[in-house]
Amino acid sequence: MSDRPLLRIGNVGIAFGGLKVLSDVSLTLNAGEVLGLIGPNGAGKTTLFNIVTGFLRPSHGEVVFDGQDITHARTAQRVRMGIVRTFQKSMVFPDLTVLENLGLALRAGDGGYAWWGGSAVLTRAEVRARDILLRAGMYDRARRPVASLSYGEQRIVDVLISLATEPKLLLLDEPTAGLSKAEGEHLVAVIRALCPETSLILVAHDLDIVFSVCDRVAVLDLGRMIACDTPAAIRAHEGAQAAYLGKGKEAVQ
Amino acid sequence: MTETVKAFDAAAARSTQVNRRIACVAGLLVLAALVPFAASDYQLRFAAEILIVGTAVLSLDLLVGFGGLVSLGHATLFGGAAYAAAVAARAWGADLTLMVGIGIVTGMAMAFVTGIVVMRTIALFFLILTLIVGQIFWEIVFHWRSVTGGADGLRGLPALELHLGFTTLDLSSSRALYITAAVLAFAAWAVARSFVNAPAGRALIGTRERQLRMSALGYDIARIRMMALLASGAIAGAAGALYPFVNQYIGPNSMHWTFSAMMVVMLVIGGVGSLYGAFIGAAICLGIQTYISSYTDRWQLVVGLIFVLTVLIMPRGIVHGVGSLMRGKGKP
Ligand SMILES: Nc1ncnc2c1ncn2[C@@H]1O[C@H](COP(=O)(O)OP(=O)(O)OP(=O)(O)O)[C@@H](O)[C@H]1O
Ligand SMILES: [Mg+2]
Repeated sequence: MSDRPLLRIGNVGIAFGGLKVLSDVSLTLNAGEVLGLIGPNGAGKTTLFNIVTGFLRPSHGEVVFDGQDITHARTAQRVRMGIVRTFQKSMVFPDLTVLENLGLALRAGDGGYAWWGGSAVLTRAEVRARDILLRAGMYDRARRPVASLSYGEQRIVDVLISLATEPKLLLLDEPTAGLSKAEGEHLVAVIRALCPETSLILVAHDLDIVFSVCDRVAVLDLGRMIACDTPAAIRAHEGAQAAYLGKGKEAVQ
Repeated sequence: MTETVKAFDAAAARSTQVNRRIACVAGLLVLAALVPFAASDYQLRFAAEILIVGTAVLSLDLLVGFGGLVSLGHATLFGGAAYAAAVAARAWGADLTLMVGIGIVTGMAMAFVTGIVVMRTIALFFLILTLIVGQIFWEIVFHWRSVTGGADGLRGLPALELHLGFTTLDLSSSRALYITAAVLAFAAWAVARSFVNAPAGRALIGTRERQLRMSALGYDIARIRMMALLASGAIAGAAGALYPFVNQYIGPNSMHWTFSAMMVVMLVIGGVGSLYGAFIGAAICLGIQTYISSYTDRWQLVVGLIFVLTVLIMPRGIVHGVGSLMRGKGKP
């Protein structure tokens, strides 16, 4: 783990029609770090992801990645730099096969727009996709449409799509939602096994998972970052407890 | 498992699919080759028209079936290319290569202009904007009398021929026109198929299914849509280039939005997303128009009825409906 931050979010704020959704949020993430991001519903976690990935522009503040100011960069540019996200809702391509789901991801930066002579591109992506499925223990699912898989497997595919290109930073928006504890832990294990180098920001309502896998945990409440520290410190943090831990919010979703 | 095994798995799974398709295509080709021996001159011209309009509908399927983009301006690309070919034919003679070349360039150019306006929109906005852009093109053609003949259109075109360097083939007979149209239709189908199987076409499907995800993966959605429009415009333009030679006439109705709407109807009846369903839809609608309109003016009512019935009984169109009947029920 190096000391130079991979991602630095500085005093970022955004409002939707007068409603302040994020106010002066700052955060740094080191390369290789796994950061948990927790907070009650509506705290602004997904909004923060939207800002880091370029789906939204902050009204003030800056986002710096790998030493480069990307506050106004387009999403595609950020993907090329190595920032990829998942979505809170499942965003698989349900009618396409598992292979093709991964193929779309793998080709985005590698011949994805070719009209002609694309068969080399397709084969290259498919071989890489099969390799990923093998390592994720899903090789036998390669040719199945994603919609025919179990919910747990679909969530895995959803995450595999995003980590297929081995990004430097992967933003996971509640990847374990709706999964059993065992399934959730399996998913996290798959992620770590497939890209051990990748830095993660993990949003989850299952605090056990967050506290067990994350190096640090950040707590958002009503658009403010009220704490960011080691899991042990966050457990003991009064503000964090008041905002989140004490309320047993994890039961909500 | 080694790299070669994975590559082999990839190739093997693809080749079984390909074999079945090749058998299907071969059957259709034999059928198409037999038509000239059984049909009258009039029927051959009519079959050529079906193939030409069907090719335009096939190009619309790229947008509707694979991009989820319903256009009400597609006839404009087709008709615009037809006008360009007709005007060029009167000036320089009707060489097939020249005609198709001009048609493709015109179709792509008009698709590009349309694309500039619509490529960032979807759904209803896409529908309305393609309609508006199409009608602007229609207005231009309708009022530019000196070149397009205005409301009267253009008549009296030179005979279609193919210069081959050492010889020149006369393509003005009904049989030659039919064969030309059949070759065009097949080539268009092959091009469209290779487009949807190429990375670009698959990305287009991705934008139809999950646009947000595609953006998050770094795809440029507008660029993908523009590529689909250009491919579609090229095919529609190539088809349009032959259209004036069916009846030695081209008129502004070929660019009107009502013809675009009819193309959408043909596509839905035939089967969205199947490509070859376009020809079946075109055959049904043009058949009704030609044969029923001699009994009643209300042929559009009949087309409408078939449209409604298709949507109710076989919502994925005739090719899928018949296909799933043959495969037995239960399968999607
Ligand atoms: N595009 C938008 N327009 C208006 N309001 C928005 C928009 N996006 C988010 N919000 C509001 O911003 C607030 C934060 O939303 P966000 O989705 O970031 O919360 P979250 O922490 O991800 O919550 P959850 O745990 O429910 O996913 C909510 O009150 C939401 O209604
Ligand atoms: Mg959220």
